Amino acid sequence: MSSQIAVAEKPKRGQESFLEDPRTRKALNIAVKTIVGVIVLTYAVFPVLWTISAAFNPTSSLRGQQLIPANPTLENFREILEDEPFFTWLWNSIKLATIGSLTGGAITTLSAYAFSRYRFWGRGTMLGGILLIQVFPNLLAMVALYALLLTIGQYFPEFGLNSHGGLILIYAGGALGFNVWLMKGFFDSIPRDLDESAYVDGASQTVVFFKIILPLVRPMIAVVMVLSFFGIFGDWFLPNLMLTDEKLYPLMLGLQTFIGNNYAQNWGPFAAGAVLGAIPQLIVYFTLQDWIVGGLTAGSVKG
Amino acid sequence: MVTNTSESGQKSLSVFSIGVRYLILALVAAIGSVSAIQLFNDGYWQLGIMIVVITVFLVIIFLRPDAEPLRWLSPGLALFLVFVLFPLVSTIAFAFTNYGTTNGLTKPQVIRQFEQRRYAAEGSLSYTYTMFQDPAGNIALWLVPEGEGDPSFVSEGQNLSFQSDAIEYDDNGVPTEIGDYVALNRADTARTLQQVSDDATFGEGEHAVQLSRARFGVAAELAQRYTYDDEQDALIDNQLGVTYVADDSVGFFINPDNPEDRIPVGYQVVIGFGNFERFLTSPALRGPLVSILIWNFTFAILSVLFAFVLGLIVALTFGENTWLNKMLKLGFILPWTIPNVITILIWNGLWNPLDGAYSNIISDIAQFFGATPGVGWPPIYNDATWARVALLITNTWFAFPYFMLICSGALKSIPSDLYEAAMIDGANVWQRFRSMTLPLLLMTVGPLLIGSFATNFNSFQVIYLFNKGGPPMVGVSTPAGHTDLLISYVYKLSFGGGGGQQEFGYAAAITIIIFLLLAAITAYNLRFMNIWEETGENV
Repeated sequence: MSSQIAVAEKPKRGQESFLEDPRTRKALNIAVKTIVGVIVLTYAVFPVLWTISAAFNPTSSLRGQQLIPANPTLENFREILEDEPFFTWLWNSIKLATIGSLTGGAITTLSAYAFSRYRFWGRGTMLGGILLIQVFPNLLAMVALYALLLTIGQYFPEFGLNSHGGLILIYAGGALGFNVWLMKGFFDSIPRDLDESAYVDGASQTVVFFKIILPLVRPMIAVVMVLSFFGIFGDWFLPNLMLTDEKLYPLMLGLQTFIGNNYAQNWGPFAAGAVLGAIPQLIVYFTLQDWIVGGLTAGSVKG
Repeated sequence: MVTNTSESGQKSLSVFSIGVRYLILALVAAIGSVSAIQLFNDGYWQLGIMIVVITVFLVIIFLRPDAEPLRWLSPGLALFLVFVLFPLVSTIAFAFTNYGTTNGLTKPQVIRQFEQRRYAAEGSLSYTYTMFQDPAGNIALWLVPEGEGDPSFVSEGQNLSFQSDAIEYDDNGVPTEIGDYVALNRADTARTLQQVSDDATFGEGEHAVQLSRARFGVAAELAQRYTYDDEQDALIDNQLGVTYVADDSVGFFINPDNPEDRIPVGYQVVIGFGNFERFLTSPALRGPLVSILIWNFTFAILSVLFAFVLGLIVALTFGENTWLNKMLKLGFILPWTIPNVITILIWNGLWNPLDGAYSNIISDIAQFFGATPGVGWPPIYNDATWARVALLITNTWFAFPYFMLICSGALKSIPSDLYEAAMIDGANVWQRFRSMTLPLLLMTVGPLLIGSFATNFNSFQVIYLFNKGGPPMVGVSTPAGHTDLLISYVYKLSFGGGGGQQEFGYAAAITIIIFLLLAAITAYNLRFMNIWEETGENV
C-alpha cells in the first residue's frame, strides 16, 4: 500500500505542490462548488419552479409560458378546483391512505411485537421469508391480484374490483414487509426488563403492550405510518389497475387522467393541481427528513 | 386480601374473555367454511384451499395456549397469505395455464353459463301475450297458452303472482290492471316492443319465454340449448345437434368431427410449459424479450449509478455543515419530496416535443449550432435513444436526493483520524477518495444500491407514465416498446396496452423470469447484508 503510493507520488510532484498551495486550493474549491452548485440546483429546482409558474400563468397551455408569468392569476386553481372533481380525488386519496396506513400500521406493530418478544418455532423462517418476498413487489403479481379481487367481488362487491375496500386490503396485506423488520428493531431496543417488572407487578400482557411498550415506540410507529401514508397517497399503479369509476379515483390517478395527453390545453390547471397535491408530502418530508432517511436505512445498514 | 380480589377479578374476566373467544372462533370457522364451500362450488379451488388453511390455522392458534405469539401475528399473516403470498403463488401457477381473455373462466363456470342459454325450439309451446307496464317502466306479460292451459303473469326473469278473482277483466278475458301494472294497447305495445332486447327472457325455469319477432303478440317457450353430459364430458348443442367434447389439453369444447368448430368460450387448463415454449420457439415473441431484457438491465444499472454518483458528488461538495450548504441542500432535496407520479407528469410537460421547456432549449441549442430543427424536434417520444436519455434524466432527478442524504450521513460516520493518517502517509485527494472514502462508503451504502437496483428494475410507474414504454418496436407481434421494462411488458400483455388479447398465462411466464432474476440479485444482496445470520442469532 505505502509502496504503491510512493510510486504514484513521483510523476505527480508538480501538480501536487500546485494543489497543496492554500490559495489555489481555495479558489479551486470555490470554483468547483459554484459550478456543481449552480448546475445541480438548476437541475433540481427548475422543474418545480416551472410548474409553480405554470400554475399562475394566465394561458393554460404550454405555449408561451415564461418562468415569471406576466399577469399572474389564480384562474388555473379555480379551474382545477371547480371544474374537476379535485376534492373527490383528494378525499379518496386521504381515505385510502389513512385507512390503509392505519390498518397496515396496526398489523405491523402487532407482528413486530411478537417477533421481538417471543421465541417460537418458525420465527427466523418467517422473518426471512417476509423479507425475501418483499423483494417481489406486488405489481409483479398484478394479474393474480386482479383475478383475486375479481373473485372476491363476486361475493363481496365492496372488496372487489372497482372498490376502495379491495385496494385497502391489498395495501394492508403488503404492509407486512420491510416495516416489520423496522418496527421489530425498535421493539428490540426497549429493554425486556421493563415488561418483566410489569408482569411481576401483576399486569396482564395486554396491559403491558398497550400501556408500557406502545407509548415508547409511538414516535416510530408514527414515522412508519407517515411513510406508508405517502406510499399509498402517491400510488398510481394499483388504483389504475383496479378502479374504473372516476368517482373512486385517488388524486394521482385523477390528475394523470386529467392531463392525459392534453398538455396543450390542460397544462395550467394540471400544474395548479400538481402544486396542491404535492404540498402535503413536501411539508412532511422536509420536516421529517432525518427520521425518514433514518427509517429507510436503519434496517438495511444494520449488522 | 388485595391479591385475592385481583385474582378473582382476573378469573371472572378470563371466563368472559374465553366465552367471547369461542364465539368469535365459531364465527370465523363458520364464515371460513361457508366461503370455502362456495368457492369450491364455483371452481375457485385454489382460493378455497387458502381460506380453509387460514381458517384452520386461526382456530388452532386460538385454541392452543402455546400458540400465543402467533395470535399477535394472525391478522398480519392472514392478510399476508391472501394478498401477498397467494397472488405470488398463483402467478407462478398461471404461467402453466392458458389463462387469458378467451380462457378466463373455470370449467364449471363455462358449463353453467352455457347451460343457461335458451333457444326457441321448433314445436315448443307458444303463447299469446298482452303487454303490461308499471309507472317505473317495467314490462310484464300476461301469457295465455295457445291450446290448453292456465294464463300466467311474468316479468323479465321472474314469475309474478296475481290473485285471479281480485282483478278486472275486459271482454277478451284479459286483465286491465294487475297491481301497479296497466295493460297497453296495440300501438303502445308495438312501441314498447322496440325497447325489449331480442334475447330478453320472461318468466323462470322451463317455462321461460321469448317474444317472437316474426309473429306480433306471440311468445314462445324456450328450450335449454346446451346440456352437459357427464359421461362424455361434453356439451351437447340441442339446437344444432352437435356434441362438443371437452378437450382438457387446450381448454375448449370442440366438435370431434371438425376441430375448427368449437365453443368460443374456453376454460382454464394447465398447459405445462406451453407458455415458456412459445417465447423460446417464436422469434416474434423472443425478439422483443431479448431487447427488453437488455434495456431493463441498462436502465436499472444506469439509474442507480447516475443517482448515486450525483448524490455522492453533491454530498462531497457540500458536506461541510455551513449555513449556505444547509440552504442549498433544501433545494437539492426538493425533487425527493414530490410524489413520483406528479414528477413524471411535470417532466412530461417539460419534454413535450411541441412546447415543452426542455425540448425548446434543446431545439434552440441545435439552432445555435446551425441546425434547422423542424416542428416536433427533438423526437423525445418517437425515437428510442431520445426517449431513453430523457427517461434517465427524469429518473435521476427524483432519485439522487435520496442518495445525497444517505451519502452525507455515511460520510460523517467515517472517522476523521483515518484521513489524517492517510495525509501523513502522503496520499493525495484522489487516492484518499479511491482507497478510503469509497470503500468505506460502499460498505454502508452497498446494500441500498442493490435494493435500489431491484426497485428500478421494476420501475413500472415511471416507465408507463413517461411514455407507456414507447416508442413501439416495429415488426413484433406483441405490444413491445423501446423503453419497456419486463414489468411494463407484462402489464401490456396482461391488460392489453395496445388493445387485443389479454394473455395472462404468457405474461405470468415472463413474470417468472423476473422472479428468477430478482431472486438471484436478492440472494446476493442477502449474503451481502448477512441478514440470515442476524435472524439466526435471535437478535
